Amino acid sequence: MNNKDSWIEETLNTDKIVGRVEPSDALMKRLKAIPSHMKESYDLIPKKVVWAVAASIAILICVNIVSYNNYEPNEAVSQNEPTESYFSYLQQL
Amino acid sequence: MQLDDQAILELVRTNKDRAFNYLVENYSRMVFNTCVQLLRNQEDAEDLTQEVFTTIYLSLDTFEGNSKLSTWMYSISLNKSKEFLRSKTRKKRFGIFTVLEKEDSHTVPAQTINFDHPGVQLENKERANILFDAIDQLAENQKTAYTLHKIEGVSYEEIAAIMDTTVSSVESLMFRAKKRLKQLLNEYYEENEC
Repeated sequence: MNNKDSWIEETLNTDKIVGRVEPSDALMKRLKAIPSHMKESYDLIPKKVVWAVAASIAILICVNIVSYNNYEPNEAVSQNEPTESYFSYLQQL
Repeated sequence: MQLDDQAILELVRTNKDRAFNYLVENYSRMVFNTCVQLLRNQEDAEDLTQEVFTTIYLSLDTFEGNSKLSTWMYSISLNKSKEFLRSKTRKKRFGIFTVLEKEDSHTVPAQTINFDHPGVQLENKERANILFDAIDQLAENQKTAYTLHKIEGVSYEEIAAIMDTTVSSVESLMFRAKKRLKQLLNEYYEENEC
């Protein structure tokens, strides 16, 4: 094996060159704080508010459905109304 | 006390925060080293390690134990690193616009060239940088497989699970990576007469 080949082989032997790195104390603190940070971000929107918003949306949808169902027959009446009133007006004349 | 994957999953069910603390104590070194190796920037690697552990914390409940915990954590680290590098490349591609926008500012871009790997001893720094430069020139899959096996010491079977491929594909990736690295180092040697 010549100089070049041995240099290449030595360079490729990375396990001898690269050692394991210990994460810094600051990083460990940041990692351990993740659960409390997550809880804080959850607390930004309390569960009560989430439920209240969900309930409001559900009520709004129900009201819309009910009003839509009640609206259809009225619309049918209102469509005939102008014609009927027109003929009754003609009859009066 | 060393816990096996099943015991950790049991702990997740009873006390998630304690289980997470155990993972931080026992796996942060592994995740951090993978990130350092793939990103070649200590600050970025620290930020990414935090991001990886945040993802782990959020998805711990959904982890079913179909693979080893370490495999799952390696996969998250790998995907996050790839995402990070892609976004960095995208930023570099549109860098000209950023430079034009920030012509008056004196911001210094994050340096990855000649990165002082914290795990490399001073007398080996030069040689390590030559090797890292060569590894950076490998195809993405070859780089991942080579880094995980040679530097992190991960087995071919686990690399196959992490990269969602077969063991024979990993063997082939490793073979091609070694061949290409030898070629690159050979070129370097001839140019610089080490």
